[in-house]
Amino acid sequence: MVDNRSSRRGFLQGTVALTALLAGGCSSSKEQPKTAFEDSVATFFQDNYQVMTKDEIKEVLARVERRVKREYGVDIKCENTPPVADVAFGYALNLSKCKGTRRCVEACVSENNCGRNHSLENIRVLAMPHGTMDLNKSDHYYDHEQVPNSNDWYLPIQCHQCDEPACVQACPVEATWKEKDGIVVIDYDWCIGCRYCSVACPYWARHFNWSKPNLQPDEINPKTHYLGNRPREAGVMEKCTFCIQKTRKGELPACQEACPTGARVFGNLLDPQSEIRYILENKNVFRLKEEQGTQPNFWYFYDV
Amino acid sequence: MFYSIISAALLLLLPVSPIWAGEKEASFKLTGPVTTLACKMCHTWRKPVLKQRDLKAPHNKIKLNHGAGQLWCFSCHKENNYANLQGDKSAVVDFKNPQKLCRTCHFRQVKSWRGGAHGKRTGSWQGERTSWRCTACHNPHSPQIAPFKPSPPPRRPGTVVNIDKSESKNGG
Repeated sequence: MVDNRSSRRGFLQGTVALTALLAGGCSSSKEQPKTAFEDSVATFFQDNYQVMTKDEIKEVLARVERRVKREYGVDIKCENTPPVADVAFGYALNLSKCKGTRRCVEACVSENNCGRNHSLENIRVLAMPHGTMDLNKSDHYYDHEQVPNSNDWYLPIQCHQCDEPACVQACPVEATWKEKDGIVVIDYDWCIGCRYCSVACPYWARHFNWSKPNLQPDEINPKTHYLGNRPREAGVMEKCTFCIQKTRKGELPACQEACPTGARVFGNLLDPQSEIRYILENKNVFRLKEEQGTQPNFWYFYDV
Repeated sequence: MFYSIISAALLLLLPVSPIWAGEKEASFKLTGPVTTLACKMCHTWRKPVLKQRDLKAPHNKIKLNHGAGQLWCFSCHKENNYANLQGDKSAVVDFKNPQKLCRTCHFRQVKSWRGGAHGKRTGSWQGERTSWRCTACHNPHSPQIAPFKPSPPPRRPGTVVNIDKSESKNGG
């Protein structure tokens, strides 16, 4: 099966090379800057990130940087920092401390180059009436003058980076998968935009780019990751990646840094000294929709 | 001649109200916030009023709203040691480590804070990070966190964004 696919790929790549040679043969000279047409042809025949060689990935990253430069006029750095060894990321959120300020949403949008025109927000803060856990009664469009509102408590939802991700099973083209450090990622160039994953996800964590993100050049975060916050095209899915571009370098995710009440805790589940392990061992924790069996790596807890 | 100049100067000064006249019941007026002056600047020669009362100048900037009226200045500050904090049943505590005093009442919160379940962390999830101490977020005189104005909500389906980014109902 694999042999068949790679031979098909080889055939197509050969065809492209031949066409390029016939067209003028300028693709072989490395000094020449690549044109937009050459890049789009190369992107069309680009392989899945999981099976690309290191050289191919290097080319792809350069291509992403060139595309952003061409479209937005901004120099970005696109990296593919690999997972850190012996790390499994986990997240805990203190529901007693969350006051629904939505600062996490704001920070997430600006950190992850989310589209400003279609309100693609990877974090959804639900305002829940007191005395219920029924998500159907929640409202995430709340616009109170002041928070906390006396009638509500707040439940922020983002990707739970499940161990048995329903979205990954739903993807027909293996454009999304779970990395070794527990982050579920998307290869935006391999995604066909069928939106099956967004239906499969019980946490409404996946969002579809209906249009090109309306990013202003000064709004773009130039520190990007191939599987994370590089500016997306129209017609692909996107999701929270625990700020893969930051956390794989040891930094904390943007939502955690932005939270004014300190409700968010991020850390390594495999480190017994970490704060997240303290919470799991000492606090009353629960996971949302645990009955779905997706084994989320996102815990909610509260002060007693 | 000399005396006339002096008396003229005195006459000029007299109509000017003394600098402490702005605050009733106050013996002097501060030019800066209380925190910029060391307590011992006055309290070496002026004995503090230990009795619980409504705070007037120069302490009027302090709005004491902690412990539902059970706490008073000298619950945490001691008369003979203004450079440090000290509770009724705690050891002398440096201002930089307020948690050692706060924990005499809020032991659950301080325990959670030490473990990582309370308070804010910045820096890195592995290695060095900053644990924000109690007084970085809570005003010790009024520790309740004030309400926030939330960031704008996501756009509801059925609304369109105009070019100037303001929202309007779709189809009026």
